[in-house]
Amino acid sequence: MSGEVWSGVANGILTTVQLTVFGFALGAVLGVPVMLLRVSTWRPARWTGRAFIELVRGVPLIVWLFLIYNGPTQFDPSLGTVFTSWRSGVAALGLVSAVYMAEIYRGSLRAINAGQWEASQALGMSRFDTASRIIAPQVTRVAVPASTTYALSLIKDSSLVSAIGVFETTYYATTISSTLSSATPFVVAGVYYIALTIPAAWAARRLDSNLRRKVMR
Amino acid sequence: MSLADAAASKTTSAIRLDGVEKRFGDHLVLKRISLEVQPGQVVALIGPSGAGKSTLLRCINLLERPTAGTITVDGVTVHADHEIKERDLAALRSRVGMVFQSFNLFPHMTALRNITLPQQRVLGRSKAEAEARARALLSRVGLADKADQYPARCSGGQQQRIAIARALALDPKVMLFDEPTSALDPEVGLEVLKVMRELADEGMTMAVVTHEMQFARDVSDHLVVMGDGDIIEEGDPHQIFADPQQARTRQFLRAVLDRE
Repeated sequence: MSGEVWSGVANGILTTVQLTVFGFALGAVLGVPVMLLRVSTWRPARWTGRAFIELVRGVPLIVWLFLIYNGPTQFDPSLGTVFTSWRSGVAALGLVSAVYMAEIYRGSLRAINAGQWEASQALGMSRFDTASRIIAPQVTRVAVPASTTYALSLIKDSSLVSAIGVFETTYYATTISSTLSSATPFVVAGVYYIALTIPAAWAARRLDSNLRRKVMR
Repeated sequence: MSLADAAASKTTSAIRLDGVEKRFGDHLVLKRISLEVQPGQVVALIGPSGAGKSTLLRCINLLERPTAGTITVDGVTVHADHEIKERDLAALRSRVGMVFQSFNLFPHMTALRNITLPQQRVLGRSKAEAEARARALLSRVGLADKADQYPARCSGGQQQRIAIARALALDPKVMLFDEPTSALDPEVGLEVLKVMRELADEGMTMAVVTHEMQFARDVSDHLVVMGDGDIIEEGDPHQIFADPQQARTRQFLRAVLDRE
């Protein structure tokens, strides 16, 4: 009985991991152009970036999930084959992650000493080379701790995707719980989430200290 | 250097500033300064903080954009009141090496990579060529064994010598030093001053903002004393140190020389 609950809820673990990995990857990539808009010296671009961040961040993830999953099909039911629950889930996680990552990148960019830009410019390096070879690698390293913290919380936030019917850990816990009229599946789900976050946190710390050892300031 | 080059360099100055002015809003930081540096000359800029020495130096490679005036380095001229073309900017900066108070090495690269990357990206040198040059320069500044170290593993004096090597690797016509020893312990600063003295002896054109009065007096050929965004006095360093003509210069020299 109890063994069935453990194995039943376990069916969703892989999907939870996939949702987190794909959602975070999408956010980490899309966060770059969002951040670039946000820090642009051209005012309209900066305002666009700012408005986008406020809009995406101001709406709860679960509302984005329903909007992305149900919104398009309302206009054209055939879009349902494009916006499957899985894709909608990844898209919503990616969207929200993009603005959080953009803000993490922006904070990290501010942490880079102006002298780095100046030294690179004084050497005659182009703006593009300066940004891509001097500034970006340093921003990435500064952003690691905050990014991994965000990724860890995304493991848990991905549970919201159960609301649009993606078969992940919380989804299985919910269905098994209602079948059995028991809260035990949620205890099991909690154990699984902890089993995911603790090793992930450990790996994140390892990554950070490895980078730090190489590039101390 | 060919004969023709030598003849040309006699007639053209290495750095020529004409009426260079820098304003931050209402604040006038540089008051129409004109200055000439001959090839092979070492010019020291001294004066109290806030005098505009660093700003003037940073105008030479356009890290600061002057609000008026003309800057010529090794035949490349930039006018402050015209739009500065990307090509002119690159041409000017490729002739000028700069060394900063805070070293500004790239912390995510080894000493060697710090020196090779700009050579490859700016001059288009091959990796092998750039590395050969970098290693030669590192041994010249006494740091051949630091090639594979990251800057954070090097002392301040070592970092500054790596930064000098990085600038020299691009074969600049002129070297600018912005208080190169101010962030260093006095003893460590000596390593850096030694390298600078050697550079001067080899005939490098240098403009040095410094608080090292001994260096200003003994190594420079021409001394510029600045105060309140203007040149107060300039001329032979020994003469100025021995017999300053301006009251403001006397006051400054007394403050820095009679500290004990």
